[in-house]
Amino acid sequence: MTDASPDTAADTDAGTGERDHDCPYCDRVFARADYRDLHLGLEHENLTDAEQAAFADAREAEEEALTIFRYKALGLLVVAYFLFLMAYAASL
Amino acid sequence: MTDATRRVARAVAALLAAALAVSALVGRALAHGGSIGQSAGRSLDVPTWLFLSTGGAVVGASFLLSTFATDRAFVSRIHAYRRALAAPRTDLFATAGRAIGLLGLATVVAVGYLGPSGPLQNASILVVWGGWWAGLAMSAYLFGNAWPVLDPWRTLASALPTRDRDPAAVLPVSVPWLSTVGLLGLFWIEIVSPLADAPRLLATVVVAYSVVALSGAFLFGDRYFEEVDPIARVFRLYGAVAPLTYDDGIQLRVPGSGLEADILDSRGEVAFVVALLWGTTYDGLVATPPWATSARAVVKVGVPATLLYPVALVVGFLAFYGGYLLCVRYGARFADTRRDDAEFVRRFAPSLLAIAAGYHVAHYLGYFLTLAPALVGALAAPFARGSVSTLVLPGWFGGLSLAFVLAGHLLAVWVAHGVGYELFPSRLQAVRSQYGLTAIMILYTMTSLWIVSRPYVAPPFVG
Ligand SMILES: [Zn+2]
Repeated sequence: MTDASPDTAADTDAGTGERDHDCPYCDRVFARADYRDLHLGLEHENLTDAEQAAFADAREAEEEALTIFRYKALGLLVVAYFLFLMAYAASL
Repeated sequence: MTDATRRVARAVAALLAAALAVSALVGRALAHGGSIGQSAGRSLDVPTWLFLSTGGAVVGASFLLSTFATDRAFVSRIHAYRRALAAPRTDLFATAGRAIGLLGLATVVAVGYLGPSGPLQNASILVVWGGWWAGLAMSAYLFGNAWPVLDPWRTLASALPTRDRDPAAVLPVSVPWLSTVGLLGLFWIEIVSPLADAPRLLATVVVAYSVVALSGAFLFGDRYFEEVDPIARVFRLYGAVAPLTYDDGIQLRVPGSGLEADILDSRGEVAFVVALLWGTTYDGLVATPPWATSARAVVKVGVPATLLYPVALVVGFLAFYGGYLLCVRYGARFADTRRDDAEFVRRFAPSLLAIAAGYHVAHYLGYFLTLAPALVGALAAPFARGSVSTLVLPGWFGGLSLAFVLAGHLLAVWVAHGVGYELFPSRLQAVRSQYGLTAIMILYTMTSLWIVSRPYVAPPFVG
């Protein structure tokens, strides 16, 4: 079981054609392989080298996506701030 | 400083700066929007829509800001923080608490029947509404839940025989739903009956409630208080918000961190939480001028006034509950997950308790402080018919209630953030899972800010 590469653990849901990604150590199922890899690194110990590497990759991709999200959130905050400032200025 | 802590420090600094900027805006809205503090005569007046959207935006912005706290270790450290407090002679305090509870029940019944009939002179009215439903409930979420010790029915029941049956096996309906219906019933009685003005009636209701509670305890033992009794459930849920917990000795924790745990077992318990939130909202809603106007219009058309209140209570509950289910389920789609919708519904619902606590304190703190001197006076001389002293609160106090409503929502956003991190391996998933929840929270905020900022008028057709 431990020498199985993560993707052979993936099943195909016959009904929807979507692939499920199982955790080999517990009963959790994930919609995406990188979610499963993150889960492995966060919740389980004694991972195989392949799992360790997959976790590191998923973690890095997650950080990048988070950085982009932060910029978007900041942009949204600034826009909201200015809209409110203008609304207040107009209503005074 | 490690990289992680520096990132956290930066995030916290950004959070504070933005919160200050936003609160500068809200501060102006609070000062000039709405009618609290009779600001109509001032030169600056913010239209209601802008005031409400500012309140909603504060909740939305705090959600965005919470997404900047991305250090898992930091988030879980805050939520898992516990500090044991030395508690000398807890047994002594518990015995004293039980005695106080019994004495309170005896006072409410005896003074209710025999004491003065003026509501502000009668200790029974003041103990129930000022001391218990306002004061003790506030202490449950601000400090910790003392009700299991004070609960006079639990104390009485512990001395009486019991059959110790399982409520779920005996009752033909779902126990948490029964409890939810009971809670809505209590809200209905509280609003439509003159219980706050008629001490004799209040004492009768308390006696009736005692009969129900003691029969329940006879059948189910302690499980009556743990599963069926709506009042014990309200206090237990409010206690989950509090910074003190008694599960394992007395422990200090960050307020709201008790809401992160999986504390609700079923859909019915989620319904109970929503009923608590809605009941507190409804309590405020029926005392607004627009409600009075529309209630009169509806009754004029021919709808009986006795039907109006319970129907509105149930319809509003269904709207709040349906809105919550819809938003959380719809929001779960953004998270791209294989987890069960039912799990999100259960796990995110406790965050609503922080909001309910915020509404409750907004609604009752002023009431409690106003009545506190009268309560003390009435307890000191329960059968005297002397003059009543109440506290006159300064005009700015009304503005505080808006701050409490917002504070409850901000705590709820933070709780939901922690729950999301616990449920999902990816932090972006966690953020996305909260889109729907944040939307319904913004709606709840705007509703309650609108209610709190209306002037008080006595509800028509009641009492
Ligand atoms: Zn696993």
